[in-house]
Amino acid sequence: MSADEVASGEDKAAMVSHNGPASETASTTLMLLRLGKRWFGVDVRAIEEVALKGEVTRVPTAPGHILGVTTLRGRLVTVVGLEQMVGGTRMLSGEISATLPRLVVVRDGEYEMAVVAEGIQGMTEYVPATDPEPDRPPGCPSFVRGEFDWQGNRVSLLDAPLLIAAAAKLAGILSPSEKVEP
Amino acid sequence: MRTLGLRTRLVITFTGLFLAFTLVFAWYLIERQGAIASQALETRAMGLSGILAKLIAPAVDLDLDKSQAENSLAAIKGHKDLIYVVVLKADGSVYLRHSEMRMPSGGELLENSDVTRVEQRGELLHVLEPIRSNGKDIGTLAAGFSRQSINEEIRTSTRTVVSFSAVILVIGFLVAWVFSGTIARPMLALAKKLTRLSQDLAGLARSQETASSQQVSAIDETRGTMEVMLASAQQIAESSSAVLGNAERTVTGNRDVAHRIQELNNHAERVAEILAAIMQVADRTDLLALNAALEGTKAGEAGRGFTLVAAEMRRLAESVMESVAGIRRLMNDMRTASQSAVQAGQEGVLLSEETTRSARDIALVTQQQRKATEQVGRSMDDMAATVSEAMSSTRQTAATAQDLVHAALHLDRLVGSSSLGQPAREQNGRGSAASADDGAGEHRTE
Repeated sequence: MSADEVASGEDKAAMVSHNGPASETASTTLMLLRLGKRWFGVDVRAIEEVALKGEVTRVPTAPGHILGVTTLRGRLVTVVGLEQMVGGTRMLSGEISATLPRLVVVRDGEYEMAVVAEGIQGMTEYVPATDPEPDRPPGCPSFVRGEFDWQGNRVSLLDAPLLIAAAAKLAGILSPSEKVEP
Repeated sequence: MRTLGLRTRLVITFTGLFLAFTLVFAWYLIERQGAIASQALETRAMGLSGILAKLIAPAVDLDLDKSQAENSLAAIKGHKDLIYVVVLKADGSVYLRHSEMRMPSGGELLENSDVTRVEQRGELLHVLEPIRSNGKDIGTLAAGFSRQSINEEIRTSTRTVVSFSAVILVIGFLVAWVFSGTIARPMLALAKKLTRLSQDLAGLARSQETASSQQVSAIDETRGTMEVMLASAQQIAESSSAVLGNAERTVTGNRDVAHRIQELNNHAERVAEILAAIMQVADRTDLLALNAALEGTKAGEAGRGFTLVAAEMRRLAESVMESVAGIRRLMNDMRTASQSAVQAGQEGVLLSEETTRSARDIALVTQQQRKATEQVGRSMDDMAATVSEAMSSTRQTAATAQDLVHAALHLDRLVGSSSLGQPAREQNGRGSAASADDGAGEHRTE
């Protein structure tokens, strides 16, 4: 999908996003990323940058969703696999991406981590119209705030802070919220 | 022309010899018997005349009575050969005449003679014996003797000799017949055997000549076939040489094609490397544009233009990447095709090399075949010459055998006789050129 389509799809996303989060009244710009057959949307305000997926060093005794660590301009960033965190099932689409795998770096305060994406489809405007709670599939993780349709694809809306907290929790370390609350 | 048989000839010869011997023997005996009888008659006549002359000499000398003289003649009266006795005086007058038998032709011989004379005239033997007294011729005694007894003896002797000669002749004929048969039979058997053998030899010679002719024909046909094979081998050699040249050129061409395709592959690899670099640049450009759009979006309304430019840059980068992806696909297809072409070229080279080796082998085999064919052709020529010589010898043998057949037939005809005509008939029964003469023992010469 080209940047024009993304740009033109901003209005479409606004129109089809009837099941957006109820708490969000203003429009939100989401970055759409693809992993296998699944699409995910992340608020651009939580995205630090998008980088090339370089060499990822696996960390011994790390849980399965922690793919390893990599360096981005001198910073050591943890690389997380959404595939393992969402459901643990393979989400390979079989499609050949035009670009190389990306690392979407999300940040919540001082904490940041990178999510592996096979493709980035750019940004789109999302206007939540209704409460997304009813659209949440049963048993889905807490960092998935809801789902909506975009150009015939089902997009899962990710909450970056909750995603970071969930990853930290699964890794047995304190989440940013847990660190702040006490 | 009729030819007498050997036995007939032998019989005729021996019989002729016997006949000649018998004739000579008979002639000799008859002549000899006649001469002896004549000599004996003359001796008797002369002796008798001398005795009479002395007996009647006194009577004539004294001119006595004739009765006394006739008493002297009484001693010889009744002699079977005495015809007449006439006593002449010296003056030629007849003193005494005595004739008891009829006078045969020729008459008396009356004349004086001072010596004893014997003359033969016709059937008479005349004797003139002088009559002497005291050494003086006083007359002549003329006496005539008949030769009839002598002739009778000669005829008797002749009959005896002829009979004896006839018996000898018959015995000789029989001996000749048996002897000729003894000689002719083995010769006839030998002639018959020789005829059969010579005919067999002639037949074998003709058969061998026919076989040699067929062999010569077969050799000629084989030589013709070998010439055709030689021409075919030469043509195959020329064709294989052409195939060899084409195969070598094909090998060279296939190697050039493989080399060119390899160069094309190298260029494709280089293009792929350049495309990878372009792809990397486009990817980085896309990434930069994405981050620029992200930053523009974070900047809010102020960064909207920046976001649009970044989005345009992403569009360009994606277009470049799609183009590169299309070029990559084309390159992959071209690489696959070139690899297939390289593989096909290598296989073509291998096949061409195999074809070259096969063409060389064919050329070598054809060359060997041509040499072998030429060798066989020369052998055929030698064999044909040998067979021709053998056929010529066979013809000579056949001619000799034919001459031998003729000689054997001639010998057979010569040996065959009237009583030995069976071989001739057997010979005719065997289809010989000679024909039998129905037991005559003589055959017509061809």
